[in-house]
Amino acid sequence: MNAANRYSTLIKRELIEHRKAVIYAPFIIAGIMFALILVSALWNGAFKVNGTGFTAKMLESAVATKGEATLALVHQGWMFGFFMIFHIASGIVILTYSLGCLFDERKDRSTLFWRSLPVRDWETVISKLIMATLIIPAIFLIALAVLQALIVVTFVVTCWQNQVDATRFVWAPLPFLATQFWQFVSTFAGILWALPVIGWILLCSAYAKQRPILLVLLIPGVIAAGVMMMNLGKSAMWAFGGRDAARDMIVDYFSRFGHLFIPMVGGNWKDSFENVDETLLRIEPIISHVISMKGLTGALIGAALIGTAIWVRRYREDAAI
Amino acid sequence: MSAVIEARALKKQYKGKFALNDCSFSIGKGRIVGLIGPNGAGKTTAIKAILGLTAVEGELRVLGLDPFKQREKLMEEVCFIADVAILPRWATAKDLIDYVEGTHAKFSRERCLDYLSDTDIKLSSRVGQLSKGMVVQLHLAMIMAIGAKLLVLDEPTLGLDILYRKRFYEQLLGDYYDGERTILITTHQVEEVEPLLNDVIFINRGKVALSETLDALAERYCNLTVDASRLEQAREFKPISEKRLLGKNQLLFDRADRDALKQLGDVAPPSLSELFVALLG
Repeated sequence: MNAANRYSTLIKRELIEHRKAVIYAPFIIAGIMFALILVSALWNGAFKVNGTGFTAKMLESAVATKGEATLALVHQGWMFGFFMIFHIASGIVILTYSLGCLFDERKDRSTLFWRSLPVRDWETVISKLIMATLIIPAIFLIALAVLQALIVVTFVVTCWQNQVDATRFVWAPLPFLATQFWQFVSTFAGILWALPVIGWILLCSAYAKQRPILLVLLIPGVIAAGVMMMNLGKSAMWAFGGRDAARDMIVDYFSRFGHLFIPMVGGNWKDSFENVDETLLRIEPIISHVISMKGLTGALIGAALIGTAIWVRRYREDAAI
Repeated sequence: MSAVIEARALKKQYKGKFALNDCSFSIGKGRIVGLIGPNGAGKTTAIKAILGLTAVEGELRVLGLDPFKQREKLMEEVCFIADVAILPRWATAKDLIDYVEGTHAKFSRERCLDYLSDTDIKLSSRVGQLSKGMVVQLHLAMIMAIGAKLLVLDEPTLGLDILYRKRFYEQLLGDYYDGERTILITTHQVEEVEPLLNDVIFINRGKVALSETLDALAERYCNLTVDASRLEQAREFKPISEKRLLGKNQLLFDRADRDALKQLGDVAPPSLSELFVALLG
């Protein structure tokens, strides 16, 4: 039995256990969206020869009013819209998965079965981390790519039906592969950004006796309240103005999430959408965040929390018998 | 007799209360041992310590390993059934067999499927849909297909009907036990496991109250059933317990002169449950 076989067994277990949220959900979301688009397209007569409204006709009128460069923005715009939907959905699945993955097996006592096999605790925790940070986002990305490809096909079909030049309106301005690459980089940069949160949730999942969600929310809440109280005292006594370096750093770190994705439009979505005339989806700000001091600090804190989660899983005393 | 489990002066406290208190015992290779005690006696803590699920003070070696520090290595040679409820309900029999095959080098899929072929369990059966008896059959089939050196059973037949319980122990003896492997069982159903056991360890308040082979127990202890007229004479032999049964008196003796007792009434070896009640009750 080699190591690769062993790890694929651990991952396979997770995939089977969480198949509904991890495998079915992304494709169901993609299916529902595509069905809605098809119904909408049919409703608007987009597939009919010289049909009214929607897709090909829309593209023609956009070019007529705003010029040829608009086509690239329009295509990036709709792809980005679906990306955000999948991004949020995968975020919810990742957080829910992380919350339950080390807790549920203790709750139903199956941990005694899993731990009766010669699998190291760190291997189990790492397999769950791989699920949360690589497999789940990857499956969502695949489902998203399938959906986007199907939409492109729909565009092309409507162009043909309406005798509109598909090369001019779809193939040439549509940066399909570049967008896939951007989605890939953004997703995993987002995961790196969220590593302290994922690590914290895994730790709570490994530690909680009853409801991990309470620990996840309560402890940061209590700490935040404590910091605020201390600041109130400080500002009253020394008139420091309530500034706190640690708090500012945390707020800045988390508010950066928005900037990470909106910045592909340069930090201001609306302005950029109207002014940028070539590439909406930029990779540089995302990469520069990931390799920044803040990005690396966040990843390190996340790694430390995951290490603690492994320690708790290994040494906690109440492995129920 | 080489020791599979060697425990010396084990101690474990939970919130100031001793779960194990200077607990020492030794379990030899190839033995079937009953670890028996009332609720809260320390059985579960002892088993958790043996499986490396909790750290204890004192010296504990299982198959020559420190169970807490070398748990993963130990689990290559030790199998464990807690009770019928620890298999994950969402998994099918196939999922679990795949998992054990992928993580345990000594697992034989063929043997497992062979054991399962005698049952009504299908590979597509989900644990949540199986009866308790079938879940334990599935678990046992997987464990027997590993052929571990030490099998630890903690109330393995709890909540099962008598047919499944009987079948469980029959399979354990017929298919798993080969005279080389060691089995440690805790159970409240003492009468049921008594015919299986070679050795017994009584544990109470975290200490070992008795550790003997069953043969030695039969030599050491005896029950005397006497009429009321001979009760006072029998009491002179200092019984360790006494009870009235169907108008007669039954007295339990430790290392008494059997020939002398036979002059007073019927002498018979006590059952484990009688000894349990007399010594720990």
